[in-house]
Amino acid sequence: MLGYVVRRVLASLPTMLLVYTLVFFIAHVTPGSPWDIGSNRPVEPTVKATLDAKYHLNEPLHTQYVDYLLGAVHGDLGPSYRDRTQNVEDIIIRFLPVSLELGAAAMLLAIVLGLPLGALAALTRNPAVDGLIRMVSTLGVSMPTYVVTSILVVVLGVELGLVPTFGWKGLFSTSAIVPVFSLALAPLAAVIRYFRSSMLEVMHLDYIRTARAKGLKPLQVIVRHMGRNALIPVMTVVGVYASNVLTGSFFVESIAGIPGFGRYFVLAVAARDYPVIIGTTLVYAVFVVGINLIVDLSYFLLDPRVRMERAT
Amino acid sequence: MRLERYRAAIVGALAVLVSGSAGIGHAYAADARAFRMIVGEPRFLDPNLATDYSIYVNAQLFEPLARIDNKGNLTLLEAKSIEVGPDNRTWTITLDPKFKWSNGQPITAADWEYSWKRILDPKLSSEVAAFLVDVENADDYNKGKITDVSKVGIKATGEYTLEVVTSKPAPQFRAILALPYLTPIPRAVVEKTGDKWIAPENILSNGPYKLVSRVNDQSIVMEANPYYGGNKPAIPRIEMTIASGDLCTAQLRAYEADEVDFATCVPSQDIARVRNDPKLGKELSPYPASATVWFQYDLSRSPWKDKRVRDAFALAVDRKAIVAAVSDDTAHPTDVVVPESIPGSNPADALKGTVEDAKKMLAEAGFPGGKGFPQFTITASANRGQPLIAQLLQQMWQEKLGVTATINVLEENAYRAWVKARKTEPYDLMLNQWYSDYADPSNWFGDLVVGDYRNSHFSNATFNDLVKKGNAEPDVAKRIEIFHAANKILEDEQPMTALYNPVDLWLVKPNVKGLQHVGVLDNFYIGEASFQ
Repeated sequence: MLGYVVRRVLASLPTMLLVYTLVFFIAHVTPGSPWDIGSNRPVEPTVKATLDAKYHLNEPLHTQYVDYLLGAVHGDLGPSYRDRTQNVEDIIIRFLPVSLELGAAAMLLAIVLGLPLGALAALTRNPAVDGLIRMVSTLGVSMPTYVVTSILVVVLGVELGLVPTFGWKGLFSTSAIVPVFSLALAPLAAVIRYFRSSMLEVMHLDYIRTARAKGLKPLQVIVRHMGRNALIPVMTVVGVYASNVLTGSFFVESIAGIPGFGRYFVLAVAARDYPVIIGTTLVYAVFVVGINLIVDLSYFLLDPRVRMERAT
Repeated sequence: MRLERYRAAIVGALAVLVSGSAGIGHAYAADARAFRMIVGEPRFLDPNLATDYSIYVNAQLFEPLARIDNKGNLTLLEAKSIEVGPDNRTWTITLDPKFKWSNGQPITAADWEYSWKRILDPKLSSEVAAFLVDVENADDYNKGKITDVSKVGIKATGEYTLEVVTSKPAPQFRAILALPYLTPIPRAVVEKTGDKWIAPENILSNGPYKLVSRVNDQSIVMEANPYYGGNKPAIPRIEMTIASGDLCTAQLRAYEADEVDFATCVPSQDIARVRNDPKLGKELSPYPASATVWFQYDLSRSPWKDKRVRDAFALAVDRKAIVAAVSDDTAHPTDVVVPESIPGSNPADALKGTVEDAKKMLAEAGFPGGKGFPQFTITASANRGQPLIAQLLQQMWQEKLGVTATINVLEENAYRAWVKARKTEPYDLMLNQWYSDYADPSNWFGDLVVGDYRNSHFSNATFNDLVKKGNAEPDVAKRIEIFHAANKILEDEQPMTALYNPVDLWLVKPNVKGLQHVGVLDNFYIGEASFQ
């Protein structure tokens, strides 16, 4: 298994390099310079030159490309242009935890609600309940998060006054309700759908009948025998959503005013803050690669057959 | 059915979850005595660097020498007197010693000198330097042509006396001295802590409030500065929450939910609803901005070089329709570029004629009924209703003149970069706007038109001479007369066609008293407001 992990990590290096190359050049060819932002009047050429020199933007692009890469490999992601007293590491340390907290809460909610609901939809003989759960999950998959967030803010915040319309006072405050629900909706819907269909597949298999015939209690059959098997496809989809949700959502964070990683990324793009754009994208990439790896490893725990295949 | 039991358990668990989250609903309650508002993250809290909307945050912390009120009169703040010598160049500023830093230390002329010279320091690369170019040798020092800072005409001649010398007689300099950008900074702190002097643990301010805490991209909290020399603020605490993206929408939602006491704008799609709402409508506070929105042509190219084409385009525009669409009729249609509130402007200079005249002029220029007129592009920013204006113009010109335009909408920062690149690159037609920095004709005729900040490539020797003469004329009446003549040329030549003067819309909760729109920048001073 260790060998497998090492191989996977090495295989991800070219992916990371490709991500870096793409984002570096796209950021630099986007019109607008970091020094023009917010200014109503033309920036003096001398001012521009001084700042360019200070941040090495006057050097040829390929030199900048190599220099930044060398710095990044050594853990130096560069300074922020938008906030000249900060560097990218400070920004990551400050903003990523908020997104992680929010994302973890949303994923937890999606799993805790999604598994029972998916099971209920699969096991119930009542078409109304199944239909209702399926409708909710279809809605969750098809509604974009910015629509969900806006609706929740307007209904819960402006109309009912139950939650603040804006801002962040920590995970254990009312300000977390809207972002957590908005973020949880899509993974929740996916968990319900996948768990429902794989439960349906599993429930008629012979070993379930055997388990029931042995006289096991229904809950034991559902949780131990059906649930565990049905979890494998759900793990894949949870992994995909987790890398999205944990690194912060641009839309949810911007609309709900959450000072997280996603919102900071949007601000950095608008401000042409190259080091922050590149640095945050690299962190995203590491996350996606890492979570995919974790998902693959989780198969080892859930499915003995995978253990056998990979070992040989 | 055994499953029933589990179903009941699941439903029960769901109910607990939902009610649990609803149960903590009303935990959000702010300190009733704090003034709450939403602002954009200030790019610079350092007043030596801030030229964007950061100035509205900074204005609560830092105070300039004086202020120009809404009638155009100078009210002294940190200065006891501002005198100009008989040469119209030497300005002697006496500071009022009752003003102190927020730690109780005196603010001396040396702090002012240090601050203004720091603004000009090429290493700081500050855009605020543009406001000090009139000072002797300031421009050369800022551009690195001279390195000896002692040659710059700013000098502390006593503990509380500051002397500023302009390179030539500059009557508009009094208005510049009252700009909110030109404040002192605490020399000792800045020298010791460098860039980090604005951190809450280091910063000292001279205005009505002091900074208590700041979390980047999250919040700014201020409290009354106990050593402030002016009237003590009635509101002891300000809590600002930072928003990004659509600031107007975030503010309106929070305002409607009673989370803020004040909103500085209303999204254009909500203006009609807010105005018609019996409660919100009364809390709306409109203020005509010292600004104009216009469209302009690339005068270096055909067919835009032809004045008849420009006149035809201008006369075919229905300004009322545009204003109705973008502002629910709150903005003021205008057909002159320089706003009426700026001395030298004259609405009578506006181009006059009908749509029939427009058709005739286009025919005279060689395009009867728009025949043979090249297809052209209108470029607009994605912000402030500009895409809508572009569509309306496209339609009006198609219907009335028979010419066909395509529209190019650019994200705001890309648009700014695009406009700046038009210095050397060709274009057809663009939407643009200008907000006064200070209420003086030289900010419009000089900076905007002669300086060609928006790259219309308009150049007219008589006009340039008049502006030069006007800028140096100390006699107020004569000066206005000169700018009147310049205004006539500007409207005759029609390098830009004015559409409307925007109106700023605030929302202020009824229990907040005394919050006023101030000056051409539409500043607000929370220190002068109170809760009822």
